[in-house]
Parts: sequence; structure tokens; C-alpha cells
Amino acid sequence: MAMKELKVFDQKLYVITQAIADTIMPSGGAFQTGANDVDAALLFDNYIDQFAKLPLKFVKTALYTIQYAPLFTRLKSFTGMSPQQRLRYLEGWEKSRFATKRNIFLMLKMLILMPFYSNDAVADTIDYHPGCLRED
Amino acid sequence: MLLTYNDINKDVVERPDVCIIGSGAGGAVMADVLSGAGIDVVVMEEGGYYTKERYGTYKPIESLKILYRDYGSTVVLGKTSIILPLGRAIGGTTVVNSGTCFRTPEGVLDEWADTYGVVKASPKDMEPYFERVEKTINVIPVTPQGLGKNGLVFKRGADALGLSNGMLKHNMIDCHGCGRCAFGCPHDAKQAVHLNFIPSAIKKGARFYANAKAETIVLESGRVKHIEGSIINEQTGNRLYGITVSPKLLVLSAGAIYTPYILQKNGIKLSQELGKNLTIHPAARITSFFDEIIEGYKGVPQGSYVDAYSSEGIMLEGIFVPPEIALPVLQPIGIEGKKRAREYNNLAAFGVMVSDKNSSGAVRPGIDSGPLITYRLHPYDLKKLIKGIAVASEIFFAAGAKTVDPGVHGIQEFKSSRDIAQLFTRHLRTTDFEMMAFHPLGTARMGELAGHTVVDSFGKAHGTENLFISDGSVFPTSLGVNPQITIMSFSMRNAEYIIDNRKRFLT
Repeated sequence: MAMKELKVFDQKLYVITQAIADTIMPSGGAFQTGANDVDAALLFDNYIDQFAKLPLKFVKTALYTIQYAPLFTRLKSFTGMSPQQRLRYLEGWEKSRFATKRNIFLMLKMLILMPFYSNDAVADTIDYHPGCLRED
Repeated sequence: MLLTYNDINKDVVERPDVCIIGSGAGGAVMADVLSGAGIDVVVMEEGGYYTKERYGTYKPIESLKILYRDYGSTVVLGKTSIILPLGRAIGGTTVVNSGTCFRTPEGVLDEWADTYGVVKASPKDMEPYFERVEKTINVIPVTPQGLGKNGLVFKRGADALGLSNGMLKHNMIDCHGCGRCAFGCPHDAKQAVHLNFIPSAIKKGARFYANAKAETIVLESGRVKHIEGSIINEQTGNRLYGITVSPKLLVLSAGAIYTPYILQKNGIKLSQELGKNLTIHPAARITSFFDEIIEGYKGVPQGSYVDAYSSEGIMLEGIFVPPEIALPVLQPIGIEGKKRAREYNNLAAFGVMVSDKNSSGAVRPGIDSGPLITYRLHPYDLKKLIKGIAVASEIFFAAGAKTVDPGVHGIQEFKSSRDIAQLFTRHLRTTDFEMMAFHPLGTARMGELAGHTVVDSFGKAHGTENLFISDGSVFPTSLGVNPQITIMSFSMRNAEYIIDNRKRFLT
């Protein structure tokens, strides 16, 4: 179903993005809703549909790099790992002392989570109810 | 008259007295003053025309997509990447800025005169322009009632430490404190220029073209002959029609990134300084968690300041953003990170801005369709940033914070004020800091020293007869404060100079 609505990714990139999004924002914990509960991969795809060529290339390259880089060190692609392995692997990106590696992941994380938190159902789960000091 | 792509059904040809590229703080004021003197003005604006009926309904991430360039994430490259949000709409960045208003610091005006030979821009010369601009856009101080709790807790901490602080001035009328200044004010309380200078200019006969992207500037023997561009469908980004403007005089007001870029792209060099000397007013954010509910999104996000260290080039100014902008940055990945998100209503945040007197960057044509922006933060300015982060952290603890996150890679969140010392004892590099910047200036600096400046004291480009620049790119140094009043006031002054010399420029 999601495939019909994708604007930027093909099915392969969509699946990789789902796996990354689920690792960044799993279901359960302090609040139930996780990335895959609201199809964050699709929200992300739709959000970046007007990206210029270069940033779009950056996003796709970053996704493929995260997916295939572990083939050289762990003999597994990202989607082939267990949830625990995925978490440790992405924490390696997030806390890397190499600024470029860290920043690539932080940018990707930001782009995935922005549409996620913009979803009304998610906003509700963190008790965020946009409003003003004065409502008159 | 204000036309968008929806109103246009054929190629546009215009022959006005003056063409202005850009409708932000510089271009809008220029258009209003010139058209008030009976001068025929056409304004080309790449962005669309939006009113509160539209942006008032946008979610913040939609505003980023629609009202900003590059989704609000224009990247400045250097040792560390710095995000530089730039507005793109009728009204330019004034539609999405914080609304904070400062006059140009007197010391800065003096330095421009002494070092760059800028004439007739002393504090006394500029006073009447500041007054007129402030009156038009209704500059008033934020009230404590409008500040919201994010500002109030920081004030509480600053007062406890005896640090000088106060309420910032904003261009606003009847603010409801919705915390959305940066995404388009839903009540149009923020008096961006599309609510005052632009309607005034239109009443006087100026013609504004939204969705009109200027692409080619034809300059022959020092004279601008015409500007060619495209009318763009804002939904698809596709070119619909052509637009050709043949003015007697061209004013570039596209901002400190796009003004040099469009000139460089067209092979117009003007000076070896064009595109250089970029200052961006780098900033860092400091966040903290409190036991008490803050709901920082209610109130004026940038409502107050701490200026105890302003003489050192360090200004602390309020910031706060909705969860879809804040949490993706603050929250670690995994289940543990969700605990942080759940505490969003207990979050407080403040910003540190440093005057980049020693750092600088450059704008060049990039390999894609936009400019390549580079910047090197000088170690001295980095020290100022570190000091600012330390001061803000102290203030948060003095206000009762449980934890403070300095936003520095490799440093855990502070649990008490004793932890702040790490900022000074550890070897920190530029790449360890998360930075943003909001005020690009300086890429076409003004002055009378021809070899060192791009335009003269009134914005006329050296070596040309009918090309002016009137935006933040002409300021020779960092202001150390938010620049919209300075940009508007200098634009007003430059417009009067053109009017006073209309025989020379407009015949």
C-alpha cells in the first residue's frame, strides 16, 4: 500500500528507511507510538519530495551507506541485523568522533523525526498541544 | 499591484525606472521610499506570496518547506557544517525571523567610518532612519506577560546571578504569544515588511512579482541593460513564463548569500571582495530540563536577552521551537531517547550568539543550482561561544534546572554547575559544537576604499553606473545583534540618496 504513495524512494530505499526509522524510534517505552506505527518512512519520503537534486542525492547515498557499510565489518547489511545490533550500529554513527560521519547521521535522523513528530497522533502522546499565551 | 504565478499567463516585459531583486528588509523599504517619490518600481521576488490565512495554518515543518530556502537548511560548509535558515517569500526573511529589533550599535557605525571610510552613516546621521523604520514596523519591548515561561525561568536565573538582562524589542502589534515567529505569525502580530512597507509601496504604484526568479543580469560597459528571469509554478517548481525587466537602475536586495551569487553566476565581478568577508553571527543552543512545567512554546520565543558579556561580543537571546524541530536534535536514538521526548513540556532553551569579528566565510557559485557557502570559525570566536555556553548553563542551574545540555559532542549533559568546568578543561574542537547561524552579512561590503569594498557608502557598486546593492551584504563587519533594523534603515537612506540624485541615475 505504501508503495503507491511513495514520491521519492523506491521499495528498496523505503524498506531501508523503515528499518532505520524503527531503530531510531521504536514502539514502546516512555510512549507507545514508534516510527512504524505512523509509517515514518513514508512521511519522510513525502516530506522531502521537493528537495533539490543535490540534497536528495545526499539522503539516498546516506541511506545506502548505512545499509551496506556493515557488510565490510559485520558481513551483514543493516536490514540483515537484529534489532539490538541495529541499535548499537546506529549509536556508533550518532556518537562517532568523526564529525562528518556523525553529522550525516544526525541530519538523517532529524529529517526522519521531523515529520514523525509533526504527526498529530504523536504530538498528542507527548502532551504537546500547540497554543498561545492568549487564545482570544 | 502584486502578481503571483497564478495571475500571469504570458511572458512579462517591464521597463520601469528601478528594478529591485528581492522583497525582504532591504528591497521592501527601497520600493516604498522610491515609489513614494513618484519613481516607477518593479520588484522581482523568487518566493511566493503568503498571508496569515495560509501560513497561519501551516505546521512548522510545512513552513520550513514553503517559506524558506532549502527547507530552512541551507548549509554553510567548513570544519563543521552550520545551518543557515534563509526566508524565501514576499517579505523575505522578515516573514520568518524572530522579530527582534536592535539599532546598529554605535561602535559598529564608528568602526565602519574609521576602517572602511563609510560616510554619512554616523549614529547621528542614522537616528532619523531608525526612528522612521521603528515607527513603521511598530517596534516595542516584549512585556513580561508575553515572555512565556521559557524566558521567565532564564530571567530568574540571570537575576539570581546578578547578570544584566532585559526584554528584547520586537516589531509587533497585539502579540498572542504563540511561539511561531519563525514559521509565520498566525495572527500577523509580527510586523514583517509584507504588512507595512510592501502594501504602502503597492499603493504608491510599485509592482511586485512573486514567484519571479531573476537569473540573468546583462551588464554592458558598466550599465545594467536588463534582467531576465522566470515565472515559476510554486507547486511544481517548473518554469511557466519568462520575465524581462529593462530598468534605468537595478537594486540588488537578495541578501548576503544570493546577491553575490547572482552577480558571480553572471560573471559580474565588481571587486575582488565580492562574495568574501561573510559573517554569519554563529549561534549555539543550550537546553535544560526542569521539574516544573515550562511549555516553552507558549510566549515570544526570542523575548529576552542577557547582555552582561555583550562588550565581549557574546549575546544570550531566547529561543524555543516546537517538538518537531527540537526533539529530532535533542533526543538520542532508541527506547532511552523516548524518555527525553516525553519531557518536552519541561524543556527550557536559550541561545548564545557571538559576534564573529575574527571569523569569515565566502560565497561562490556551487556545483548544483545554488551557491557554495564556506566559513571558518576563528579560535577566538570559538572561545567566546564556549564562554557563552558556560554562562547560559550557569544561569539555567541558578534558575533551578535539573540538567543542562550544552550541545557539545563528547560532553554529557551537566548534572550540576560543577560540571560546567569541562567546557574549559577539555580540548574541544570546532567540530564538537552544534551551531546555527541566522544573520549573513558582509559579502559586498560598502565604503569609500575602492580596492577593499564592493559598493560605495550609499550602495552604488564601484565601476558601474546604475547598479546598487541594498541588503545585509553591504555591512562591512558583523553587527553583533539582529540586523533587520540596520538593513531597513540603510535601505531607506540609500533610497533617499537615489532620489536626491535621480537626474544622475534615472535619466
